[in-house]
Amino acid sequence: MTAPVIDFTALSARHHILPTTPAWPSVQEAMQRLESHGDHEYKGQKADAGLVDEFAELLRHDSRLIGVALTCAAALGRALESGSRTERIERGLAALNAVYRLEALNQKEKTTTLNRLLAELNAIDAWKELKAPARLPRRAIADNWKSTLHENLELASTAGWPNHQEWQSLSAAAWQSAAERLSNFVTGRTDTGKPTLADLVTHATNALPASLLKLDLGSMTIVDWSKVFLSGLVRAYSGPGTRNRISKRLAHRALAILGFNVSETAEWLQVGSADPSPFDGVGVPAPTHAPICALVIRTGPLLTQWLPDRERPILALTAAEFASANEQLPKGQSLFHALPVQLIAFELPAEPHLLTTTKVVVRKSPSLQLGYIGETDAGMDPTSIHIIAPKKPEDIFLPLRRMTVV
Amino acid sequence: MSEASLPLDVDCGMVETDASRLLQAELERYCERELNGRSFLIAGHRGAGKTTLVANAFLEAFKRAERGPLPVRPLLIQLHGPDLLPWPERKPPPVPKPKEGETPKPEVPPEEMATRVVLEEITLGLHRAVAREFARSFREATRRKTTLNRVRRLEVFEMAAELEVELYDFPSAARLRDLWQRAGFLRDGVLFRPSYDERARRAMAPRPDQGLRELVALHTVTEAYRRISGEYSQTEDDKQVDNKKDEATQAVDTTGKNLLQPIVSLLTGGIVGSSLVQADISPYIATISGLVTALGTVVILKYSTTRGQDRTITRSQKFMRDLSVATLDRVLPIVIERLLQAGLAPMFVVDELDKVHDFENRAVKMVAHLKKLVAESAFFCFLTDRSYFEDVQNQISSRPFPTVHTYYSHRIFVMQSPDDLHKHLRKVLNLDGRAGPPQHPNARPIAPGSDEEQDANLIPYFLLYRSQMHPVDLQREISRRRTEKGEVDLKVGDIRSSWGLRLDPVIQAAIELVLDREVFRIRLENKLGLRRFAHDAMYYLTRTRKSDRRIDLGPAGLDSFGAYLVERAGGDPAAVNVTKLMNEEERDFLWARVRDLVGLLADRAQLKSQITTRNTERQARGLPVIPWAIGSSLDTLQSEILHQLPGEPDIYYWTYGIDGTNYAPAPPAVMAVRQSAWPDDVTFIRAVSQTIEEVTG
Repeated sequence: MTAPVIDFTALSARHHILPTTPAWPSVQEAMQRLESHGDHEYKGQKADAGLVDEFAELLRHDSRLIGVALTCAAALGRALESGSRTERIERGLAALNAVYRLEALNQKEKTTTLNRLLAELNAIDAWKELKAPARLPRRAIADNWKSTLHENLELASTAGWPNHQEWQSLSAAAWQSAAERLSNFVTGRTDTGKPTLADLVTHATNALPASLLKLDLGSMTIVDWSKVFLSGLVRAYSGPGTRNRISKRLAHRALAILGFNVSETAEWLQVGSADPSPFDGVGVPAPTHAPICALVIRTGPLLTQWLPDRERPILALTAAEFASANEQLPKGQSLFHALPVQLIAFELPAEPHLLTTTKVVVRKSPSLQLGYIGETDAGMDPTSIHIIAPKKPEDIFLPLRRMTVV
Repeated sequence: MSEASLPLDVDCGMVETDASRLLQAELERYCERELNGRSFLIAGHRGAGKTTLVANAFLEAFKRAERGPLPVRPLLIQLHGPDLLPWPERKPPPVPKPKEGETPKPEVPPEEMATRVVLEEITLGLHRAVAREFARSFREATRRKTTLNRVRRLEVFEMAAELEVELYDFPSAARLRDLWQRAGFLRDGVLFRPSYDERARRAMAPRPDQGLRELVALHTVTEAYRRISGEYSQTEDDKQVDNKKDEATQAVDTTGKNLLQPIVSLLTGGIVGSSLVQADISPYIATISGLVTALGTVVILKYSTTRGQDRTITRSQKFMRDLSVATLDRVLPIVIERLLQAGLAPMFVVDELDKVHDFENRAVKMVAHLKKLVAESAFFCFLTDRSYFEDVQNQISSRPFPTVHTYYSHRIFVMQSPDDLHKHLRKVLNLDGRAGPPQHPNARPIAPGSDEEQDANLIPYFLLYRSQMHPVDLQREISRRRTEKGEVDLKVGDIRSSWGLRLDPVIQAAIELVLDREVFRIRLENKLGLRRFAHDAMYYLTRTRKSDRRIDLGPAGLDSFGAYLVERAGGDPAAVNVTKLMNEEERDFLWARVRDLVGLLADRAQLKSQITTRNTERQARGLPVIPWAIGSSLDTLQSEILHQLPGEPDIYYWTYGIDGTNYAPAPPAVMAVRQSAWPDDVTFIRAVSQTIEEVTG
């Protein structure tokens, strides 16, 4: 994998600090054409000159924003345990874009937002020297812009931030923030809450809860929520700020958001822990009375865009995730029964050993139905799970095998 | 840097809509034998994709049947509407002069004649499709037979050729059986691959008699074809002398004669003799008299028997089978049933009905006569234009359960919404990175966060704007934009940089915002046929962008708008009566929406704000959003897209021409001075770029 480069493409198309219009590749081409033709006029010269002028004007206008964004990104990237300066800044920029959704903001809003963040960083001892570079004058690269930027990034690279205590504090704040968002989400409020520095740091470092919960919970898919559930059940996720006792409760809520009736799952999930948790106050969605709860065994990317639908509860796990989930349950018990599930569906093509294993399970539990999701019968919609009516036990797998072969 | 970068799928396919999904689902249910029949009225403006819709549903069902999940496979039978309902109507055949003693035959009434023509055409189309299918399948089955040696294979291929020729010459059942038997297809048939059968035998009902089913179906179809191919009659004379009864009588007589005759003779002779003895006549004389009497009795009895044998009974029957065209309505359901039993599900597609003279009235008669066949025994698709569709809709909405209500089991209007078109384009451009339709060999995934990704999100909007959301034009635009490598012929970044291109996605986004407004959505849901007019209306402004850039929203503009809509429907027979499809109130409604669009294009802030609001709503519902890059384009505009000049309240002007020329009322000298300083700009840009690389590297 090639190392990231912070250039105008990164600042525009990737991280949305700069507008995506005009496009940097087009400006580059226009500059090359202008330079190669020199004083000779050519068709399109006016358009090229106009484009270059537009981009230069854009840079001048956003020069302060560029400086502030790079400074903030470098500071956030400092929280990473390792990595080059470029990698750290890249991660910081990605966090800024994800948390503030910069692509949806105009340049003025971006400037205001990042200035506010810089002020927040200035409140931390290590960062109080960080300064916002001044806007560049037209067509001149001022020394003070360059030197301020240089000083800021040097400072960001050397600061010993955050220490253990600061990290604990940031982590707790991030969980609290996540709990508030979840509470809003469950109660149907669209307010996602104001992103905090803790959110930014956890995003930049890919730590919990950011690694599991997106800021916009409404955009989390069935696969995302299934991972949240699994993290609580399996406790396999680790990293800075992991707090397993919280994950159990979170897993419980995730299952409810996926549409499952969780009134009976609290016990085996051991949600009733005495430890206080930010998720204690998060309500549980009212139980649904969906006729079929499904477990989808994932083998590919088909489900990655499916959003949860409380009328059609679906938990989507890979075969390995399913196996590790089963290991957490009392011996002889399976997620099929614990949830409980009425339908097992495969994403096609499924691996042969999965079919064989499931065949045994289905034979033992005749009430279980079998289904499949195939690309040929596409549709990124949960309604397109095809349920195979098991007329005779030996017929159950025929259509599935046929589809697999195809 | 690549000249062209975005992969554009070779197979553009069809734009999926709710209508296409419904048709496909119902066709598959028909092929699964869950339905006996369906009749679809499929309407849409010219070029809306009606034929493609049907062809695609057929192909999908065909592919599924080939793979195995469907027990029968569809058989497409294409019928040409103007042939079914010719104009002028075909005259009934002249009635032949009756022979002496015969009652004259009545002339065929015109209505019945019209039905006969329809039945003839259906039979003709059915025969043609079946003959083609069997001939093809026979050859394919021969090709699949790997056990044949070269000589034998050639022999069977020759049989296939014979079959193809003979199918139009009414082969007898024996002849067909002979071909199937000699080729070795009598058990498994020719229609399905052995692999299909193997699975089908396990998953579905076994078909050990597949070959025989095929023979029955094929023979039935050729017999139906024979009825329409000429004068065809068959007479069976059944003369039968009632011999059995006579023989039985004779047997009784014979028995009686053998026993009764001597007894009677003897008794008679005895009685005569006894009487003579009792009358004191000499015993010799009495004996002789008795013998004479007995002999006489025998003679009398002999005489009586002879008379009885002459009384014979003769019965004669003459059965003239009615093989005339008129009986086809009874025969066709049997033909269809036998085809289904053989594994073929006929799907009749009647196209070009908008070209049929007076279709509105003649369709009622036709469907009324053939309702049983059309709606209950087979799968029919009637393809027509907006006009007839609106007519049917009006009848249904204005009267409780009009007769036309039951003619068509489903009435669908083919019209692609912006969401349908975007979904299609995302698939064609493979924007969701899913494995799916075949990709061009050069196609590669688009890197997230790249300039290509930014372009890719805008290209659907660009293509839709250029094609004015018209499916045919969209396919043309895609073909035009596709390079030999299977990529879009735009350089990376062009769509966001070139002034000739970058406004197109913005205007398209504004159009979609207006179309998505509740007031518009509800109106279009209530009157499906209005959607094409609505789309046309949204591109009214674009026409002026190409000419004088002047938009008149006053009364003269309204007149011009009305004329434009009629022109857009031009060439379409429906245009003859535009007012029937769109009344004045609806025209005014569309005009108001055009004004809404002008409002958005003249106010960047409002447009950006509405994009943000809509995107937030759609994100919450998991729906695709308008690319944020469009908002970014708006941010970089120096002027509004439309502007007004003082003293012209209802007049707007396009700020940017179609070629990107900026007509903003700004001093051009400033622009010229700035553009002439490009060397300074280049130096500046390079310096900033270098600084960023230095401090971040």
